Formats: sequence, structure tokens, C-alpha cells
Amino acid sequence: MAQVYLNNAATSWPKAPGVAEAVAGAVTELPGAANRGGLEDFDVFAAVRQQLARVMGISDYNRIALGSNATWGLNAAIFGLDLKPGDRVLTTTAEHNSVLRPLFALSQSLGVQVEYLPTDATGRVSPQAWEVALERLRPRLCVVTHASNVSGAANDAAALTALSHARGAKLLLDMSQTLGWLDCSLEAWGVDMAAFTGHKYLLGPQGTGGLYLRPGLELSPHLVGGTGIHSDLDTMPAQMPGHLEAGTNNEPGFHGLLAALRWAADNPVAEDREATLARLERLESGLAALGAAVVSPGRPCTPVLSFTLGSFAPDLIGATLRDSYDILVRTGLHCAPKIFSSLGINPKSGSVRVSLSRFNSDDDITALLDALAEIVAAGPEWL
Amino acid sequence: MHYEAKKLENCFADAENYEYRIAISGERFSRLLAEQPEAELRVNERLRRPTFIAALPDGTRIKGELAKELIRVIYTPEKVATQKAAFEAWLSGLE
Repeated sequence: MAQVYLNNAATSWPKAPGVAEAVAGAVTELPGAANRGGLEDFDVFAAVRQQLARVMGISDYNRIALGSNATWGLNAAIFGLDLKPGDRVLTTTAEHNSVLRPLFALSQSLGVQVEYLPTDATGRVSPQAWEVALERLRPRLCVVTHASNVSGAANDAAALTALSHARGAKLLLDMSQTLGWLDCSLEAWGVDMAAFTGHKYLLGPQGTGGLYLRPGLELSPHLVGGTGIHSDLDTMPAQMPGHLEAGTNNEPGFHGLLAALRWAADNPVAEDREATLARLERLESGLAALGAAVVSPGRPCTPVLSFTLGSFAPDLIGATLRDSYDILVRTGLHCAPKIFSSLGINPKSGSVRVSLSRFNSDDDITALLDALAEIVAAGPEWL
Repeated sequence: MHYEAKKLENCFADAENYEYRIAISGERFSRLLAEQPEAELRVNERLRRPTFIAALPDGTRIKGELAKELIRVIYTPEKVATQKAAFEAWLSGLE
């Protein structure tokens, strides 16, 4: 039986057409010029940056540093901003551990004060609550996810950025869940920093990601090392993007990401977005009919939803879907442990998360609902 | 009986779930389980891939597909050492 893959908020699958061939080609062909190429040398990293600049809505592609994933980018930003003891950071309960853990580390090592603004019951950050928290806290840095990886609720990045700037704070946006799915205009929104990954809605390979840094803002490199250029200096090259890019990057992976970005340029996600969200809404209705409690954020959102199902343990629902039905979802805390109290879900068990991509079909939704109906009919004692 | 065991990690640091690859089918394994005093065993043939679940008197829970040689064992975090030792001793003694 074919597998039904509904875990795209973790890692997208299948990848965009052409990704596998591009990765394989990069491994079988000669490696690139490692920042030393001339006009006749193809620079895959520059090509990726140019494509990303289009998707992000920025004009200077050299403001994008490439690394291994969004965690890399978030760490580069959070540790690179040179926060000082007593500095305050405003973030939210919707954040992923890739934000929570770096901030916790800074709170322990430097005495940085971190405040977690609760989201509403759908996982969305209220601009009004954000403004109140900003006024009270007067943070130096704000970190917010563009969309919850648990509920799919997307935040108003432009409004949150403007409010943060009005109180003198810089804003770091976690675009892990949105780049490639939602239309983005980082420059118009005024976002200071934005971390992204290639392996979710950009439909590229794992091990690709990075950080956008707005012009005029500088970070201290969190990771230092070889760059292939300026090797006679004791410090990292001063200019972006090399300033933040130490070590040999994932060239095969970025060839794959480039293929995905080019495919998406020819096949815009807008062509599939409505149909995918319609499938999500059908799923939501079907789950509700089975008695599930579904977190329903409404639009704007990513094609993600979380649910619980009475006394059925989420992890055992996931295991049964996988073992008995070949359906892959994600269960538990989804690396965002603080959001569950806001969502009214027990943080000791978490949720079942279903995350679609533009490649899922109506049949996938039918398969999931049919399987869950059988599981419900059997009763929780069978899990 | 020879077996391989691997701890299954999940979101919860105190979870004590293990997977065991055993030398017999889940169906035969479930029949052996049923012979254990006070073991509770149920088989569900209505799922697309029939499964069994079992609970041992010490609180250990076991799940598996009837057709597969793979079982999942859930120990109680506070009692994992004794439960695991007891289960693996029993498993080793199976012919």
C-alpha cells in the first residue's frame, strides 16, 4: 500500500520535481569554486540567493547567509546580536525549540530576560497583546514565528514588526513554516532578520536554510572558520554573506534547493494554495464529525492542523496510523512545548498534527478520515 | 529467543518505549503472551492490519501487528528497570 505522507510541516515530501536529479548531479560533477569563482564558474549559492530574494521580497540577495537550516539562522541571529546581561527579549509561546533553547541558554549564561507572550487559543499572536507587552517590557529583541508549526496560524509580520520598531526593538522572524507557502515581502514589512529552511514549504532538501539580515544591520558571527577567501585574516570577512558563512556549505543540498526554487517559480504555489486549504478544511470538518477537538485558526494559515481525540492518546493514534494504515502524521509537542496551554491541549500528551503540502490529494484526506473512523470505532483501548 | 531492542525516543524525556525485533510473528508471540498468568491480551482484526495489545501484571504494555516480527513495549517510567529486566528475561527464555 502506498504511504500517505502528512508530515510536511516537519519535512516536505515529495520534493519538487528535479530536486533529486540536481542533488545527484552535484555529487557526481566537480565541486564548485568555493567563493573563488570567476564569471565562467556557476555559483550555486549566488543562484540560490537570487531565487530566495525573489521569494522573500528583498532586493539585495547578498543579505542572505546560507547555512544548514532555520535553526542555524536563528542561532546566528540570536547569538550574533550581542545581547547583554539585563537585555530583554520578547517572544511567544508559539515558538519552536530552535528559538526557545537559544533564548534559554542566553538567559542562563548572560542573564538576558525572556518573556513569552501567550498566543490566542488558535496559536496566533494578537498585535494588541504584542503592543501591550512591548510597552511594558521595552525589549531589545523580539522573536516571533511567522506561523505556528502546531496550529498553522499565521501572524501579521508587518504589524508585529512595525509595533516592535515603534518601541525600539529589532524583530527576528522565524519563517520556517511559511517561506514557499505564504507570499512574503520582508523588505516592505521592515523585518530586521528572518530565518528560513529549505526542507519544508520550499520543497528542497534537508540541510539547507539560512538567515536574511536587512541592510545596515550587522551581526557578530556565531560560527567562525574557513571561508575559502581572505584566509590571511584572523577574523571572518567583513562583508555579507561571507561574514556569517564559516565552513564548507552543503553544495549538493543547495543545488537541490535551487531546482526546487526554479520549479516553484514556474509553478507558483498560488496555483495550488486554495485547493490545498480546501482539503485542510474538509479534513477539519471530517475530524470534527468524528468527535475530535481541532485547533482551527482560520486564514491566513499554513496547511497544518492539530487535533486531539478524547481519550485516544495522540502518540498512539500516530503509531496506529503508521503501523496499520501507512499514514504518516506527527504527534506530541512538535518541538513547540509552550503553545499547548494556550491551545487548551494537555502539554503532557500534545496533539496529532496533520500537515499537507501542495502535492497531497483528496484521496489522502479520505484515507486519513477512513482510518481514523476505524480507530474511533475500535475504541481507545485498542491503541 | 534472540531479539534486538531499541529505545524509541519521542517528545517526552521520561518516555520508556522500546521496539523489539523478535524471531516469531506477532500472532505466535501473542499466543505465548496469552499463556502468561494474569496477562491481558486483546486482538483486533478489524484494523486494516490486525494488531494485538497486551498488559502484563506489572504494568508493562505491549503492542504489535499479528503479521510482523516487531513489537512495541511501553514501560512505566518509574519502574522501567525492573519491568524491562523482567520482560527481557521472559523474552530470552522463549523457544
